[in-house]
Amino acid sequence: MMTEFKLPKPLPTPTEDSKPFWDGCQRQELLLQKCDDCGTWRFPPGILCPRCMSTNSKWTKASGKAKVFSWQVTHQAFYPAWDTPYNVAIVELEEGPRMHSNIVGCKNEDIYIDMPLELTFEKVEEQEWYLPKFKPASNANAPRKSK
Amino acid sequence: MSLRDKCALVGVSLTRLGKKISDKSTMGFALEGCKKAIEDAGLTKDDVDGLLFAHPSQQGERHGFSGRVADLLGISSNFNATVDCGGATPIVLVQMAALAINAGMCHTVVCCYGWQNNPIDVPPSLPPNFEFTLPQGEISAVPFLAQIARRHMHDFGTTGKQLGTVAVNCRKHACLNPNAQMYGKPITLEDHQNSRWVSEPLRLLDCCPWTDGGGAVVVTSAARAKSLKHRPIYVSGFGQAHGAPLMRPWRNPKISDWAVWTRASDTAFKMAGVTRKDIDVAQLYDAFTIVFLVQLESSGFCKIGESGPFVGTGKTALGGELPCNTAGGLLSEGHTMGLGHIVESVCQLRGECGDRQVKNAEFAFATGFGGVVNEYPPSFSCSALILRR
Ligand SMILES: [Zn+2]
Repeated sequence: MMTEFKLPKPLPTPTEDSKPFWDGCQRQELLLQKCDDCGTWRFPPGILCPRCMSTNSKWTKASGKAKVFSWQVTHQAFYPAWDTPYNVAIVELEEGPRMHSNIVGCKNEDIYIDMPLELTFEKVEEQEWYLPKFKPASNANAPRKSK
Repeated sequence: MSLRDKCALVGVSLTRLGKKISDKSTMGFALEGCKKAIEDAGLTKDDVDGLLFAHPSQQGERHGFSGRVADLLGISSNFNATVDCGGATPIVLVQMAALAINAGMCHTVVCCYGWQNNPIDVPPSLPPNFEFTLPQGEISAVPFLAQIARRHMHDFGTTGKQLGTVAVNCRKHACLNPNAQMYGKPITLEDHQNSRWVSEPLRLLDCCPWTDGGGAVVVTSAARAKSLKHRPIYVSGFGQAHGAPLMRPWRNPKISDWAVWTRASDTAFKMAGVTRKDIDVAQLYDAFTIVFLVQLESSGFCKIGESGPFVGTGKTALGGELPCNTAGGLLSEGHTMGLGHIVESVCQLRGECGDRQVKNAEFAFATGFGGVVNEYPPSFSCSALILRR
């Protein structure tokens, strides 16, 4: 279903704390902070480790491997910037943190919990901005046959 | 020192609730709620020396809102705050009032709420800086709760029909409550199953409506309560829990491990000195059907993962072993941020509920649940309250 009118897709508005994450995305790198003291990878970006409160960390490139933790298919867009239906998933990165993203390169009906995923970057249409997205990994289940 | 039964709820009110009631502002609804609750208590405004306001915080920062409510009400308060823990707030207000009264800061506190969905003084705008959800298309609470529902279905086999049973029960109860937004509009399980997807797996009838309205409750000391108009309804126990466990996998490997929220009700039951079996009527936060199920589990009324079958066998409907959301809940009485759950608990214990009255209700339990779903990490607050007559 096409919405009758559309607004431009909203872009992230980085904070002082999250800017390195978004800068990394523009270079098509998924950077997360890894705690120097306890080794925990964290997301969202923050000035300290929520596990040990250490303020020592390094921005480190994530493997890009992930799996579907959960997902929903939006049929009623509360902000008219997307064609419905579209999916938003919570993905669990191999490093541990979970984040919201979209599953691309497969039908909504073919998404499943624990589906193995691979990182990809997509440019927001007509805007100079890359967002991290995920596509089915090569070992994901084959798509269901359409009826 | 235990605060068990040291304070009481002595006055309650709800305004008219509905969609597009355009004759009052958020402030107007709050003031109407305060006036009605103070009158219900048989008090005058000069008897009130504290005021708390539950602030949904979605229409821009309104600094010092509670201070203005108090001034417009014409009271001079010794205890005053605007509080935002999302849907947990109204119960949190009652807890804060009990703490302040027992600390000797004040003796009588009105806890109020008001909400105008389409304020003529505030242009619609995007909330600021949802950098990790908005660009991904995740907007409002529905999608996040849909993700929780999906995971609950996966982990425990919960079904859409079980979610629907929650909606149908609430609607049945609302049809016994003339002030409910959905009064006179019964639904069947089939209606639920045929309602459109909003965020799949949640359908339209899994979601509470937008509600314009407000209300208030008056808290005072048990000693003072004894001489007032109604029989005192004692604040027997309360607790809170806060956190963002879903995004912290090292704490909770499964989305459905609601250990964080269980602390709120455990604290409340310990303070009240009663068990789940003693509860005669419960009002569980239900902005969405899945939230009700999660609350049923985290409040300890059934095991984690067993809420679907629990509601499926009719236990939570009027006449069941744990009648829940007897006024219709947020799903059908209307979204009062959960204030309605406190009001209904009090009315049940006073025996004022007419056709929906739970016979001889002595102990009531209520929860609030809310927080930020679009800011990161999505963090929730849970509040629990045990009342007795
Ligand atoms: Zn650390």
